[in-house]
Amino acid sequence: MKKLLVSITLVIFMMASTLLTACGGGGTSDDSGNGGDAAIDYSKTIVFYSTQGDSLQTVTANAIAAFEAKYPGWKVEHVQPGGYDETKDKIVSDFQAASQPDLAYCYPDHVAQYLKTGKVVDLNKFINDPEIGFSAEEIADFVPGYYNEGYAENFANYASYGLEAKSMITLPFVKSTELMYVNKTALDALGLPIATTWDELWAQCETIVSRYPTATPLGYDSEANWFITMCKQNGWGYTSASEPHYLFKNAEAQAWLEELSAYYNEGYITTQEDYGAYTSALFTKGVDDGGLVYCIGSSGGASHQDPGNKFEWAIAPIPGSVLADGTVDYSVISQGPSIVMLKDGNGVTNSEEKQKMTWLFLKELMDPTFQAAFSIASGYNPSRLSTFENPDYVAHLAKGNITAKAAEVAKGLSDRFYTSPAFVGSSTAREQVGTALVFALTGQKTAEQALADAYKNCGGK
Amino acid sequence: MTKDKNNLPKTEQVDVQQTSTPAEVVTVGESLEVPTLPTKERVSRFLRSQQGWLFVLPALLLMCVFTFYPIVSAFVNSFKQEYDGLTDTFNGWGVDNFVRVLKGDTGTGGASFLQCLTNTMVLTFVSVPLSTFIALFIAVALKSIKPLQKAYQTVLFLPYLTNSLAMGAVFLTFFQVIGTQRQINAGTAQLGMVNDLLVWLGIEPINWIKGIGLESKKDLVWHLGSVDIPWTKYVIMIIYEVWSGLPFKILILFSALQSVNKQYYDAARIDGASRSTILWKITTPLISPMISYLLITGIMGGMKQYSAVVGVFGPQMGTNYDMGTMVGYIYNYLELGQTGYAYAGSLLLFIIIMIITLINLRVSKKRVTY
Amino acid sequence: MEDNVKEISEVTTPQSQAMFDIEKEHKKQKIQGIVKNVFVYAFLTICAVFAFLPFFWMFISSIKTEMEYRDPTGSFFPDKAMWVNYTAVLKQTNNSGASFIQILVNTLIVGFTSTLIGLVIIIITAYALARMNFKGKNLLFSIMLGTMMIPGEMYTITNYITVSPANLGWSNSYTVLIVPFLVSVYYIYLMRNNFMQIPNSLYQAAKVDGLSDMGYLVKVMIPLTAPTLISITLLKFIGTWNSYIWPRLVNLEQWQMITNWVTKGFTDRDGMVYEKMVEMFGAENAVNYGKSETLNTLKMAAVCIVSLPLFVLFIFCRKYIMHGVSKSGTKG
Repeated sequence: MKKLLVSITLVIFMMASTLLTACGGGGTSDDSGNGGDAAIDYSKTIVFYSTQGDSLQTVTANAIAAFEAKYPGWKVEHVQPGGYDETKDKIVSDFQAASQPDLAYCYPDHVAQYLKTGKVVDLNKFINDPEIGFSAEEIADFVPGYYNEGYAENFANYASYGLEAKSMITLPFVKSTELMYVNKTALDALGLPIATTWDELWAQCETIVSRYPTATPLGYDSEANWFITMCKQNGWGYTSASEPHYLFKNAEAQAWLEELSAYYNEGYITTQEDYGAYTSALFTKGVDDGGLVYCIGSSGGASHQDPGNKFEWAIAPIPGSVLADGTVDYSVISQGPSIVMLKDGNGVTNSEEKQKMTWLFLKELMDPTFQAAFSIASGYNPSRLSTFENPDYVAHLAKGNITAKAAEVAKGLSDRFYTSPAFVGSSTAREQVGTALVFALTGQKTAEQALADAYKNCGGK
Repeated sequence: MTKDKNNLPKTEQVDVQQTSTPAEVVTVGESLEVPTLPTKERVSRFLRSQQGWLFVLPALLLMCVFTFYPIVSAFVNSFKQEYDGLTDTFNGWGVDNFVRVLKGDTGTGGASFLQCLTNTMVLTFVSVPLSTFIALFIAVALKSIKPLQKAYQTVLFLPYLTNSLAMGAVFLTFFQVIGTQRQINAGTAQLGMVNDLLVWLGIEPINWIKGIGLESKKDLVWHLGSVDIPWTKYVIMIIYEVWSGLPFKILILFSALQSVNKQYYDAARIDGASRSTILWKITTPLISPMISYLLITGIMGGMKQYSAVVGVFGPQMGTNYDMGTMVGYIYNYLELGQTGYAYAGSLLLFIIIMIITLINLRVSKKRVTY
Repeated sequence: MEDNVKEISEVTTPQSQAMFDIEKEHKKQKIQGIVKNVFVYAFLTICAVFAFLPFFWMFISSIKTEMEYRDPTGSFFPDKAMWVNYTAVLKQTNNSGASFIQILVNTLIVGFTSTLIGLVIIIITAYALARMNFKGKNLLFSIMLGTMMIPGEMYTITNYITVSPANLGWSNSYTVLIVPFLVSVYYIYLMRNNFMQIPNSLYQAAKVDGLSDMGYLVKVMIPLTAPTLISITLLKFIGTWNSYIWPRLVNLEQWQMITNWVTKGFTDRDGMVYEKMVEMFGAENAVNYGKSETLNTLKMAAVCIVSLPLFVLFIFCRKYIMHGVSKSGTKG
């Protein structure tokens, strides 16, 4: 009996000692100054989730250091849970454990989910503050298309959360759009101009493939964007913030998918799912090596589209759709992270001071100088117009390389941006129309069936 | 127990001591310095007989906090209708969650229960028996050679040492087709190692991920009502799971083979039994407890698989979760914040696994010889 | 040959004939043996190639250049080896200070601690379930077995809530990575079965020798089941090594595990990969992927780095397993 008691005590002692050492010791001390102490004082720490990779974190780290120096005692914990979906999943888990962050990268679709919790902060409270808010000039300095995305009226059921139409839910961080990267050499050799409408582009295809039989004329990286943009350009229904949410199962969209399928069978089209890898890899190959002539991809990914010395490239806006009355609609999607502010996370509830400090850090991220540094490093476009006057950024754009040109072209498109309504299920709609497009293209499903399945998978009513 | 000088145990009146009650030992007239109370003795004897509880106490405590409590909590929450994890609100108690899950009527963009169930069952019931029996052959083969045995063992154990996320991506590249329509027609597309093998064998290459024949453009996905059977993707997963499941099974079976008494084999050989007779009629029954253990736990584990499929097909588990597993289903709804459906799904999964395991145990009772 | 045998048999005695028959039998068995060996070795070699191929491919990919990796006409042997990939991966420290060394230390500490304590818990629990009789034992065992049938993912959110700052407050520590997973019903089940297979006669003999229950456990049962115990140790450690979902959920990067490290994308942050490419292949052939593009070859290098310690561990432990098996002579 005694030996038994001794052994059990030993085990419990071992466990206890491990717990104690683990609790107190935390990680070994590291270089960043977070020290060996595991305990984080959340009442003085702002937790910020982003999807930034290593090189962008370096840029942000400078802003964090400046902030911590300016407001001693306050710390910023910059966490990267992974990609956008992983970040959203972590935040959803965090809400249930009451450990949500204070600032986070987000897409409007994500925020539609967060609104339910009542923990999303209406930023107007700070924007309109005479001391620490934005002045009228500063607000005007935001690219209007980006800024307007953050209004509560874009989100379904905003009123039921106690918000007004112009309550500010998110602030745009850096943005990207879609651009058409063009193999100018190939087009010049055929004597063709860069297509500005879809009809023009389809008309050029036959000529292109007769001269370059291995090449594919058009590669569109994001199937979902293609579908959604076409719906917007042509005025077909896609989604709506109020019920019924899902409008994409309509005859026009179906007819367009059938048209696409015919072009696909001629070998005129590829997409990322069809190709099996990023279409940018295909673009840079050149038309003699199975490459693309037109490649529509993100403006933030311009560096991937650089073909080096293989051929001369050009960047153009994506084609527009010719409408019934003869006008052309050039709507193009606007993407990229916004930042949302949440409250009451990690046990710090109802702290006005913490919210104020969080706002001040958010302001740092919105500062034109920081935006310049970040845009240079990331290839994304800043959301502050005055960034374009920042000397570093001007120098960067003057380089004339593909990233600079992409940023320049993207800037000129600001009056063409559109956004889709955000509601619980809008991200599903986006996924579903993307897969519907792929199925219709490859012929695995008829266009009608593909749309019907997509509608069903959204739980469409 | 003490021993006398011949190292033989001294006999002691042990039995007598244990059965007599101390009360009878007390003699009248002696002053009792420390009275041995019957209650204390009884209590201590009872405690001694229940020692086992002390041994299981650490495990039990931990399980109460980190296993039983979550299970009970999930169980309870699965009956909260329209439970929204984010806001912690629900709409009355009832079985609505279960009905919706089974009908596939869970609203926005979640996985389909039937699809995930089909996937999980097919993958489990093909890959687990397959890998167990291949492991058996390998273990027997290993046992029967002397030179290079250790070398082969080491190489065959390698698949266990990697994590499914990284390896899944590697496997995917063996099956991945990268190329546009034109490139495929022209033969300049990258077909992946497996397709190259098929072409070399004269078989039509397949786009394993999409489920299309590359030359005939035939749709290779079987559609059975609301459930799709993307067997080309199943093949990828089964090959991966057999590959990663072999090492553990080989280890266990090899150890089991080591402990089989050689006399059985010698007797059989003298009786002139052929190799296959020895294998099926002697070896297999002798290690059948281990085979049964591997099958039962393998199937249990297979029904709960998740990270292997994510490693190969990504977090979306194919398009529309068409390669989703039951656990993928649970995660999907947890991520959507619809924890009611997630927990209802996990409860249903538990019931299914329990039924399968009970059937398994039944079968093994009949066929396993201890 | 048969003519010879016949001739000889005409002049030999029955005993010699029997001897020649035995010789024939031996020859037949020898041929059979050789044939069997050929088949067995062929079979094992095919299996070994099947087992090894993905690793080989992974290793080869890790020393390719990224352009070679993405080239559709995949090559099995790169022209020159880019060992710089490994250096680039090992040197990457992200801005929260979580270097490779830090993550490795985390994983080793968590791995050793949880394996050690977990093993103790497995042994004492399995011992109690196998050899001791106490009220409710069978019920307890059935309930424990029952939990094996429940997907662990179900516990995740609730456990996350339990350890969050609002409750236990264990986030960002080693405790939270170790404690929730100390109990492994799977291995308790295995050890219980193993313990039950030890015949009672041994227990009686030990009792006669004056060994207490605990003594019996330590001096008899553990040595007898040592191979299984070592296998369990190895497998538990590997399990900790491969965990990523829970660490990602509950800990910040400084306290995450090595599989979290592998799944982060690696980029050519310091430009050393590009430099080496230019040096080895010339500037025309080298593609500069920039500082922010994640490179697959680096990820392969990371996976190789992460798998290597496990491999070494296995080689180390395997000797003990084999040794232990040959020593346990109590069967039969």
